[in-house]
Amino acid sequence: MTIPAEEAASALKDAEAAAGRSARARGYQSGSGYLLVWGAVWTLANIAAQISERAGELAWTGLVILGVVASMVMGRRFGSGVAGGPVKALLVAAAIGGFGLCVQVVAPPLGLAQANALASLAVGAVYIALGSAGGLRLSAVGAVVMAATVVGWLFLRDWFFLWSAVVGGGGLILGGLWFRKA
Amino acid sequence: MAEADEIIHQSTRLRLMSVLNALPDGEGLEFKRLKAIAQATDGNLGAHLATLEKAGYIAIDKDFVGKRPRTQASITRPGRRAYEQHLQYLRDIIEGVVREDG
Repeated sequence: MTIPAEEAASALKDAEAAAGRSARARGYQSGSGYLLVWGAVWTLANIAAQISERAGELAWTGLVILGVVASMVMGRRFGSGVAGGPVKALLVAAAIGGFGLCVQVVAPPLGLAQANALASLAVGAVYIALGSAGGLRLSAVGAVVMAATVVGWLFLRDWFFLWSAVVGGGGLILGGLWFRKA
Repeated sequence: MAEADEIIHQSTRLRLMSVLNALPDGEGLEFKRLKAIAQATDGNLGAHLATLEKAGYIAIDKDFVGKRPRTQASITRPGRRAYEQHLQYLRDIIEGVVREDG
């Protein structure tokens, strides 16, 4: 079999591009579940917070624990080819939770709305950063979450939790469905 | 020294193998999704998959998701080995390790 160098180079480039698309599509598929779970957590916890701050605090605590457990289960499922899938899911949750605790230490006391807005901005920034490395759809979801948070904070402060539930949580859920189409 | 694999080198089959090789062991893709990710415009996708299956490079499994039948293709261990060897052969040609006239 004779293969000229130009044909070999073209075939190799073609193969690498196809492998890249495959890895990206798999990443979107595995990310979809996380976005759907955290979109549901965001929506439900914010609706509870809009009803009363106490209900919001309780809902956030319970739902975040459920979200972390669900993420670990999904990490186990999708991490079949990657070492430590559930551990990575736990690390991401610990990083975001740790960020929140550190902010409380540096800039206390934060109200529930402020903490909520900061968490949304942190999640949005993380998504934008991760998306730049692995898939621009994730960056787009992150940008929507950040923009929605700022708009809600500036213009809809009285309805901020409900706004976060619909736009932030809804955005994550729509992002998760969008990922499934990738 | 790596050798050329005529079965894999065909452009559509090379892309199909590249897509499947990027998945973890035991994970497959449904035909429609495989075709989309591989950007296979060749209408003869079934024949290419049959060729790869006959060579033992991929496995085609049929099952049901609820009541919906599902057909998935996944790469086999010999398929991974043959794919890696063929890619190495291509790299060797580019680097001049293998002469272009074979």
